[in-house]
Amino acid sequence: MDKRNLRRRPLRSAAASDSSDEGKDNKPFPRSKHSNKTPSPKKRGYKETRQSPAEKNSEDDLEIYETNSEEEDEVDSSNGDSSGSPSSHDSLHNTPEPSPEKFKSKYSIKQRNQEDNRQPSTDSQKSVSGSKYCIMVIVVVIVAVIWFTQYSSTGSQTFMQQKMDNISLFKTKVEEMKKIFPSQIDKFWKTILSSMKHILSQPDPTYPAIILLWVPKGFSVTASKFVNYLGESINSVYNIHSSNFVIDASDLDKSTPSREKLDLDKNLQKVLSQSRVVVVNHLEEISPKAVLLLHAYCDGDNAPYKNVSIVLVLHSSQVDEDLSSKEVDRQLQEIWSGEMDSDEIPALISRVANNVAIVKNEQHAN
Amino acid sequence: MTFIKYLSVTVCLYLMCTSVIVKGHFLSTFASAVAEFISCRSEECCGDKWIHVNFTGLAEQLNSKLYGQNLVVKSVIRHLKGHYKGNPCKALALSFHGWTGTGKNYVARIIAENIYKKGMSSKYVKLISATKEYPHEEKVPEYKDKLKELIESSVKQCEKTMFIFDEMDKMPPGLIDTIKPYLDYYENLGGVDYRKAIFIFLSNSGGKDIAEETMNYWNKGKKREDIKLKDMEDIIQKPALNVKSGLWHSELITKHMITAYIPFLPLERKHVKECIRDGLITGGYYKKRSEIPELKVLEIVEELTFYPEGAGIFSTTGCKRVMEKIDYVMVEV
Repeated sequence: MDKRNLRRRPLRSAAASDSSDEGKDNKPFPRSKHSNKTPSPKKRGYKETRQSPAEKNSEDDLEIYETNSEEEDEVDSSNGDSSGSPSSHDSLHNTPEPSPEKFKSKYSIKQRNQEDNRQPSTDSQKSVSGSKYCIMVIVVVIVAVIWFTQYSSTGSQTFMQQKMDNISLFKTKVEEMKKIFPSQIDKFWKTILSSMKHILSQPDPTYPAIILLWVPKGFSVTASKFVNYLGESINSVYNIHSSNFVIDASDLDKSTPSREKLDLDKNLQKVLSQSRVVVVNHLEEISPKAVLLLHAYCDGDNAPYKNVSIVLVLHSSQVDEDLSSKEVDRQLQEIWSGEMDSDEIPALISRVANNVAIVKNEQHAN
Repeated sequence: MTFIKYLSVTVCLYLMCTSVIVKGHFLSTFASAVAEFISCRSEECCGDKWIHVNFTGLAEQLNSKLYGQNLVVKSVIRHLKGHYKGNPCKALALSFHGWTGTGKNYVARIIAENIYKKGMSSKYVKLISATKEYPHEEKVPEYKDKLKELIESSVKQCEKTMFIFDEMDKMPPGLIDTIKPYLDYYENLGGVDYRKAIFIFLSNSGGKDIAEETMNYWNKGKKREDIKLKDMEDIIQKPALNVKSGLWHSELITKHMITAYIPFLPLERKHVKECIRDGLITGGYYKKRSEIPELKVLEIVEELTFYPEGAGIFSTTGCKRVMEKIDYVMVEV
């Protein structure tokens, strides 16, 4: 063991000084690359394969490099942490005096390197360096191909997984909500889930999810509690933890209908810039002129935000809990008629009232 | 002697220089033409390679995928053929009228797909939705500038640009004036010829009257297919149609700026059922139409509203959002 060390040390420092003197020449192992890590048999095997061109060149060289690399690895591992820094190089330079043997080998390496520089092209050298580059290029290409194929396959896989995850994640959220709101009937949950489905399953949805939450008279507390849960559940699927997603119509600037429309637009944009869901509370309080803005936001072809959910909450003055969708349409028509054009109302209803979920009262909520 | 020598040398140099310049000029134009030719192979250009009307495809698609709109198919094809025959004397301006979900957007899309190789995503197809782009009346002056700039720069770039104005009846008053000059018979406007452009206006205006007239036909026991284009055109153009929505096209009517009014009739139950079958396939629930059980289709149809009360012939929402009803019925909780 001692003997081995004695022989190796000079070699190592020779190579070290060599590489620091003429760093670019014949440097098969970039120091920084492996000096950071502790050696492993696997890694050494890899180095050996990379060495093969040098092997052809000269057996002496190979020996020097090999012992050199081993030595480095040993030193590095004993040094432990980040020994790849320049300071560790310096410390290597300062270690024991070179022996005559070492001088010889140092000279031989240096000389060879200089010769390489001065007469760059004998045929054998050319082919050696050519094949070396060839192998390097092949290795790089193989690595690139492996990386690329892996990347692309994992890319599509992750999307598929994501898609499944989003739906199942939202389903578990719905299950949780069912426990908190036990009075809501199956049709209610089915409406919520089905209107969200295309948003959760498609990478680029073509239209937003629109839910009209119909609140019979006296159920407003349940409804307000529910929309908060629903909004948070939707956002949590996308890892968003914003709770500012409710726009209350009574807070809008009501000085003129067009101001109200402008304010609603501003609020919608603000919410949707940081949330995947927006709740418009008290739809019935928005003036017909301003409510036309929803025509664009809820459009099936040209909506400005297509991957979001828009929950419209309408607090009805009626106590009826079992409305047909026809009855819902009729009541909406009643709310908006007068100020809105007769051609416009059905077009708006077809956009906002496609998925109507009628809220049932929860005793505990009150 | 030396002077003559000097002169001849100068002349020689001059000739050499000019020939080089001419050659250079020729080469550069040639090179740019080649570059354009090459780039047009992969990148969209305003030439025939990227913009070319496929009338057979258009007719086929309209006949097989548009339900219950016979008047539309004939009229659209006739007007497009007229526009592309020679040099048009004005821009083609088609105005689509009808109830929601009757296929106005859908037809505009099919037209774009059969003219532009890249369809709706072509840079020469501009879709402008009034409720989305121009929602606020206070901002009309700002919108006017934007719209003018959009039309002018688009046609300057390619005179065969197609503009689709959706929700035209909800366009703030005043903004329509901006479009007018481009629809006129001017040979050129500020050095640009707008006559090869296509403008398609979509609106619900007259939808109610079209629906009522269709109802009348049905009440009298007449066939839907017997409805004449002329009857419906008269209804749409009726000045007292409706004070508010009539306003937007009243000026365009008096100046004959709209090439044609195209009525979209309310869809019947059987048409909506066809849309449901298409939706079940595009939604990935079934692979072939023959696999779809009739009961499923009926279950989905039941989710939609039809009128008149009792008979339930016509759909209130047409094929709009049929997809949502499909998801509602098909989704498992």
